[in-house]
Amino acid sequence: MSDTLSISSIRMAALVTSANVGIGVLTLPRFAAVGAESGAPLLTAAGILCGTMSLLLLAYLCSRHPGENLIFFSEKLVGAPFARVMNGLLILYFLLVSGISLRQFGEVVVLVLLQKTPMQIVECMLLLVVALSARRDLIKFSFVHSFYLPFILLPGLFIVLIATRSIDPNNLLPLIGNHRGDWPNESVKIASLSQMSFVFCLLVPLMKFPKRAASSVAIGAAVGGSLYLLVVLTTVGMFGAEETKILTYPTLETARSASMGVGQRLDALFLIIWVISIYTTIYATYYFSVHASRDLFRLGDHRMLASFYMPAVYAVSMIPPNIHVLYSLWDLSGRYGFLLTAAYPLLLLVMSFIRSGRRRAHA
Amino acid sequence: MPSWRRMPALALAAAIALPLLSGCWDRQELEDRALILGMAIDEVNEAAAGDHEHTTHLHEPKSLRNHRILVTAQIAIPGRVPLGPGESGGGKQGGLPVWVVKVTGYSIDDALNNLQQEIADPRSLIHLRIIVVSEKIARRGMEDINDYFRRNSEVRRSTWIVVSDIEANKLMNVAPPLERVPTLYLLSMIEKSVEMGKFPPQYSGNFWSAESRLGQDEFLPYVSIRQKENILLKGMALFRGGKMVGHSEPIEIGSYMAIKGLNPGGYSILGDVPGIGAIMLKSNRRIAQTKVSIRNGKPHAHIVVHLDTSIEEKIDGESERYTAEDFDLIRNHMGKEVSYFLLEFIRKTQRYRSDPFGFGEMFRAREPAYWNSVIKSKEDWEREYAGMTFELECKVAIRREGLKLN
Repeated sequence: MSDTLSISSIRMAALVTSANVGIGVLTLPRFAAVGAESGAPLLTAAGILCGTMSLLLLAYLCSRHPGENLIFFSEKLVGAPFARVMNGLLILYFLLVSGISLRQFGEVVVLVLLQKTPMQIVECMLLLVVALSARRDLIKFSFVHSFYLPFILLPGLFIVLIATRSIDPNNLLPLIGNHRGDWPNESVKIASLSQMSFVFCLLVPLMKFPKRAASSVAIGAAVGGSLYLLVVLTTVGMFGAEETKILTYPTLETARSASMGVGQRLDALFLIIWVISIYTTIYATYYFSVHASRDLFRLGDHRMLASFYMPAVYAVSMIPPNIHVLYSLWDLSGRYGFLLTAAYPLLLLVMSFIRSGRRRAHA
Repeated sequence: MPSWRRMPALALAAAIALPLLSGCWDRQELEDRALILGMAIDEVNEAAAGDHEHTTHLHEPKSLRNHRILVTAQIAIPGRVPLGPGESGGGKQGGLPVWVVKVTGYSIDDALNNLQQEIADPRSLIHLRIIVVSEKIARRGMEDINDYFRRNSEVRRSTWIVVSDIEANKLMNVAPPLERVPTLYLLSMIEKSVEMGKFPPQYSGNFWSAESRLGQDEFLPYVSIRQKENILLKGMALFRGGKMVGHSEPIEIGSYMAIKGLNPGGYSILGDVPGIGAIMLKSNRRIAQTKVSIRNGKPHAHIVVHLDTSIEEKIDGESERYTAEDFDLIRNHMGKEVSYFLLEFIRKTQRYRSDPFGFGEMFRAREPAYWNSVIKSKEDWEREYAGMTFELECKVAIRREGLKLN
């Protein structure tokens, strides 16, 4: 039984992949093309590398404190008051991300799939499913992710591979784009997509071998990142950077164009896997907020919180009056969110080194 | 907590979730929507257009004065459209399986709103397969048409847009004996020519992507009607700056595909070889290599085209020799002839300042220094393209000559 009560390295990697692949899939090619034109794949790679590095830092930090999760050991490292403020900010940030992701989901569904269904209903249904599944414990949470992973990866790869037939290499040259873009800024925006799997820091203490957390996270982030990279490569390679810039959901158009020849309407298949990937992503961010709050407030049970946060997330999702505000909010939250989710663990890691050095000096 | 105490809550949740999760909100019966299969867009003069419908406006919008268009939509009649080859029902006895509706308006959407006022069922574009645009509209500019169809999420990127040299709505009535649904005949005509290598797969999606690129101009199939009931693929409609500027001859579609190296090969070339007579070569496979460079500050391209061909016909009556003995002569001569008319087509597009090949994209990709300093907009490239120089070599290989050897 001990097998099912701890989390294996592979399941950890699956969780990171399935949490990372999500809301960004539809729009990432556009952001990358706006940032670097034909250099979009390279920019994406840079962004993913950047995001993966920050996740690795966090994983290494967690594996240095295998007995407790981030919420507890951070209080020991930097002092309870400061740690509580920062952890509170993390919780708020992921609530915000859940809300914005939920709204993006609603916008796509209403625009493309269910044109008459009110967006509020679409959002409520997903939120309900997420909140209900967020009542489960950490082990089941990790099971859900590893269960859905093949449903996200395999059809995604299938569609991408079909679409590679129509890639024109000229669309991907020159490799760094024709004009000098704002690479640091844009890659941070892409890096923020990797932060969706931040929740793994709560699961490290349950791992069978917490020391292997970093390698699991590296594999998980690499798999998810490769899928993102493939999506950008095929989409920009197929349409060209100029066209990708003006498409609202470029990846959806890739799926729609890929269907030529190989059975019509592959976009239906694509939307189904996309819904699953959105679910796993929002599940991950929402679960972090719920579970971290339980530990922050020292509550015994998180199930009540899972219902309690629902209206907040829903309210956030209703803030943007239109899709432009939605995406500028997403942009903003990505930028500052990455600062928070990367700099805070870095600070903790530095403190952890200093403390362990001091301990050794005492001994 | 005993489980039975949760039962009411669970039952309530299930009762709420069931109608919501099962997606009934967007339920729509197939019979209750007007599925538009094909659409024709024509210019219409203000006097002949008749009254304004005032569905989307009360006063004529100033920027669209004298801009009215006539939209002819072919709507499928459920139950009458034959679904499979074996199904003989419906069809001609009950009249055409489609219902043709004509409406006017200032834009596509204005016209479609007028159409909606006339028919009961909500219009739906999910099965729209082909849009025919008259040459007059294409020469006036396609921006409004492109905008509407790109914005609409129901329209697929695999829809065909076709330019016709006569009134587009006439093509909506062409129903030859082979196919019962007129639009589907037009569609299969275009799709089969793609399969046979007679036309590149230029779906609306490719057309729109080319329109967005700075270093490429878009093109569309150019069609006409012959003998009332036959559709002729007449060439490529060439565009510059979103407006049609000219068209090619049918064989020049083959030239285009040869220069781009698009397969399968489909066109046959008729040429005179001195001492042998007229020869018909069919291209089976095309391979093209293009190298771009900057010469004296001007863009330059070196193109090598390989054609795998077979002899289809030899008209001489004099020579009794085995054709194989003359293969080299035929190859060299036809190679020259083909490279001449390939260049001829390139020159024609240069005169139109329209680059359907996307040479500009090659310069953007491979000569970014030149591109970034000279090209700022699509017009810049169109101007540069007119002065571009070319070297073209065509190598013809004869692979087989059928069941007769002399």
